[in-house]
Amino acid sequence: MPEIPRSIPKKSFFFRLAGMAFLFLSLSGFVVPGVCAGQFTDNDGYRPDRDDRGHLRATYLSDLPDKLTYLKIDQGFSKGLLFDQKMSNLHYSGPGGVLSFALHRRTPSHISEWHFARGTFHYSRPHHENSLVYNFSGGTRYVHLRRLDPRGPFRFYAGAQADLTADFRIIPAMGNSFLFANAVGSLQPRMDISYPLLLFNREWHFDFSLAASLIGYNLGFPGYGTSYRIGEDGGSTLQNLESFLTHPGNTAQISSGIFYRHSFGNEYNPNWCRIGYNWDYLRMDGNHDLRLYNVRHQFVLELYFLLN
Amino acid sequence: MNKNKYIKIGFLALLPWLFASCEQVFMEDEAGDDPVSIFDEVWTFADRHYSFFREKGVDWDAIYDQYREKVRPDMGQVELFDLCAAMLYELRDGHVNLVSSFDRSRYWDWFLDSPENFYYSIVQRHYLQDRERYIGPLQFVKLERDVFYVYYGSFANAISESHLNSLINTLNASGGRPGLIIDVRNNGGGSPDNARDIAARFTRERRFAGTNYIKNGPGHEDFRAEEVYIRPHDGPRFDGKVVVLTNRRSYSATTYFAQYMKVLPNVTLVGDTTGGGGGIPAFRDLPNGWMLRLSSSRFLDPEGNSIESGVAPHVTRHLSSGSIEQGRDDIIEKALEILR
Repeated sequence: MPEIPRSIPKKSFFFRLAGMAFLFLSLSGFVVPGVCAGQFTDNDGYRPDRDDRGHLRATYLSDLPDKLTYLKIDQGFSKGLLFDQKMSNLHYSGPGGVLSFALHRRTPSHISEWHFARGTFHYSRPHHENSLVYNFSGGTRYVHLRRLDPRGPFRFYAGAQADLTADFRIIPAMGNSFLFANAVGSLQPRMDISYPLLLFNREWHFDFSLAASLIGYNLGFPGYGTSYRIGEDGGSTLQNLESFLTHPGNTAQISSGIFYRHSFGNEYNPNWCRIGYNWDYLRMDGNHDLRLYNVRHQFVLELYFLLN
Repeated sequence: MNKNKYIKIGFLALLPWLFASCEQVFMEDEAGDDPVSIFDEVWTFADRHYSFFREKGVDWDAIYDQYREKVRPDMGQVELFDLCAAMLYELRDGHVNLVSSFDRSRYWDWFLDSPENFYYSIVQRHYLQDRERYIGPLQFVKLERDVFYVYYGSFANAISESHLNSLINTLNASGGRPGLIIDVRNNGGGSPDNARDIAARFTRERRFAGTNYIKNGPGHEDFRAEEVYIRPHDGPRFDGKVVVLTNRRSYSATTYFAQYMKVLPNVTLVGDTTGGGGGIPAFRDLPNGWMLRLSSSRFLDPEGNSIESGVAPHVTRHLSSGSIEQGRDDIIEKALEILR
């Protein structure tokens, strides 16, 4: 059976698209008008309040425990490292991008975040550079964390996340073995640590997050056979998907990085951003001990737009 | 700048490096690109994914022992390639190839050991005679009263619904009791979709064509079975007699086509056994840039016979040297005899 022609968008198209999205979203943070922001020293954020003239003014969340809701947009560039034993026994590395839209809510004691659209992509090659993998993933995630100790410099959070992620890896050069994909839904206990650092007279934060699946459901292309098979009608058709319930610890995710937080514009703007470096690690077990590893070094800009 | 600041800057600068180092701890090693690792990758991928060990009586473990001792750490790329190619040759499978920038290993005995049984120039000069119409990838001509001939050179060339409608409508509008010769000799394969679409035009009923076995685990006999049926097309169909011409170079998707047609009661296969190629090939990227492909499924006809070695015709016929000299194609002549 020959390779079936497929239309793969050119690399430059995605870079242009990612660049335009990055520029647009970055600028949009500076032009949202009409609300105030002050200096802050607490990473838990602040709450805008109106003064006598009707302008909003910043006060600290430690004083005002109301729930704050932000639209959070994450975007960035990454360098990914992929190892999918269904595909081959090779490490594939290359550049990519990250884009995520979330509703971020926080109180002094809780953080919850609903990523209603999360997406990553990267282009990866093995070191011999003969083949190219297009790796796209997208999904949704709900995170709920409770702050354990509100007093010390370390901020400890514990909670859980419900995660649904679909992942596609396409290798056009691999003929009938061109497509590898899976969708995983899982419930994961999660622990976060945040530690403030003072550097260049600015406050930075070192963040660490660890999550491991407790239970989950994996639906994907099998590790054996080909992407296409002879179907019931004698023509070619995509391979049947296989599914299984995942065991505890099937999926492990670690995210760690350092971020600088900055408020936009003048004191009337309550929106803020974080910029920094993040290392994101995923390990997932599959059938027949075939594992998937996906690691990304990300330079990320997180934009927070206050909604309430 | 105080000492603490230097430490913090150093910490920031080293952070990506620190995490990159962590990857090596948290991620399994990739396969090496030394000769031993490459050899093991080739053998292991075949061991876990190849589908015809039992059918061909291949003892893959014994083959490992036989060839592994010849692998040396200081082997050159060409020498290693030739060794791996020799090992893969033991599978006797035209769908097994090791591809590098300097060579492609292959097994071609499935047609080299057999008579050619097809000369396009004879077909072109003595049968088509430049009278043919091109219906998409099909060359179509009326050979004599009520007998039509179509040549399809590659299942890789897509055939559309309108092409097939045009062909079938012409046959059905010809009057009398037309017969059709479908010549797929030297057709090396392509998309089984084309095979399915053509076969569906020549049946009124759903017909069981065989069982497809798809590899679903690392064991040599780990397969999942799925029955395959030829279903009648909703649009124009041809119910008259059909003769399909095959030779040993009718390979891969063409073998599937021959099998699909063979189960239809109005179809007769004439010529030589097809070349086989009954396994859908899987592909693998190797650490040194080579690529390996090999059969990863198998197909059994309704009687339980594998089509890997080919589909036998109802009527075996070869081209004689005397006929070739006279510009006569014995296989087409036999088809004409059946359809008259």
